Amino acid sequence: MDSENKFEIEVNGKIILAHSGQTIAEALLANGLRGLRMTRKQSPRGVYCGMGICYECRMIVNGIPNVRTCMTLATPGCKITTQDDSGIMLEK
Amino acid sequence: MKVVDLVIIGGGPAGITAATEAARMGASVALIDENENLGGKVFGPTGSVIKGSASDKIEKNLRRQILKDFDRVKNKISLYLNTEVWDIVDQRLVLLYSKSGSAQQVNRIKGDKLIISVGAFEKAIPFPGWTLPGVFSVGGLNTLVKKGILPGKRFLLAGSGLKREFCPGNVFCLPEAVPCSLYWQII
Repeated sequence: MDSENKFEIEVNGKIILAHSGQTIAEALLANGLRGLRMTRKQSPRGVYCGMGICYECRMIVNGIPNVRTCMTLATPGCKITTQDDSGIMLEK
Repeated sequence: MKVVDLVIIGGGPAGITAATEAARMGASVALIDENENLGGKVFGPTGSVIKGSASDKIEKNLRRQILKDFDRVKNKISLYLNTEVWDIVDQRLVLLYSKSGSAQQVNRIKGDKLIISVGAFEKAIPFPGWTLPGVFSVGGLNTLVKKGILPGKRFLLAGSGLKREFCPGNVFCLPEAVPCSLYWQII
C-alpha cells in the first residue's frame, strides 16, 4: 500500500499507524491487535465476519460506543477504546 | 418521500447488474449500499487476492464489464451510497439512514418492487474456542487478505470450499469432512 497515505490513530492511549482506505479493524489487525472487545464474562472477542453482521468487533470510536470497527474507516487522529458488552469503556 | 419503480438494496455485482437491466428497460431505480463505493465484498476497492492470477483476471474483467454497463444507464439510477436500510414497511417503503452528510438526504423511498441483493455469509458452526480473537469466517479472512492484511502467520483452514491459493499465509492444516477421493473431484 501507498506509504504516503499513512496516518496515526489512537488505540487505548497508544498510537498506531493506519492507511487511508483501511477500516479500523483492518488497521488494528495489521498492527497485530486481535482482541477488540470484552464480554461481561471477561472473554475477549475479535473480528469474525469482517462484514458487519456478527457485531463482535464493536469498540468505542471517538466516544461513540458499539461501533462496528470492520465497517468503519479509520480517520486521522481517531480515538478508539475497548468496551465491555454494555458499551462502557474498560479500565486499562 | 421518493417513489420509484424498483428499489435495490445492496450494490454488489448482483445489485449493480439488476439496476443496469431495470434501467435499460425504462424503470426508475434506486440503488442503496452501505459502503462508500459500489462493488460490495466481491468487487471491493482492491480487487482480487492474488495479483495476476487467473481468478484475478476473471474478476477484473467481470468488474470492468459490469461497471461499464452500469455507467451507460447511471443517469437513470438514483444512487444512495453510505446508506443503511433500517426497516422495510409493508414490503414497499424502505427506511434509510445516511451515514455521511454528503449522501443524498432522502430517508424514505417507496418502490413498486424491491430486490434484496445483500450478499451471502457463511453458516457459522460453533465449536469450542470459536469465539477467540484470531478465529475468522472464511469471508472475513478473504476480505482482509484482499486488503493486503494477513492477520497471522500460520493458519488452519477448516473446509474445502476455500482453495489453498486464497490464503497466502502458511496453512499448516486443512481439515475436511469430505473423503479425499471425493475432494479432488469437487475442486
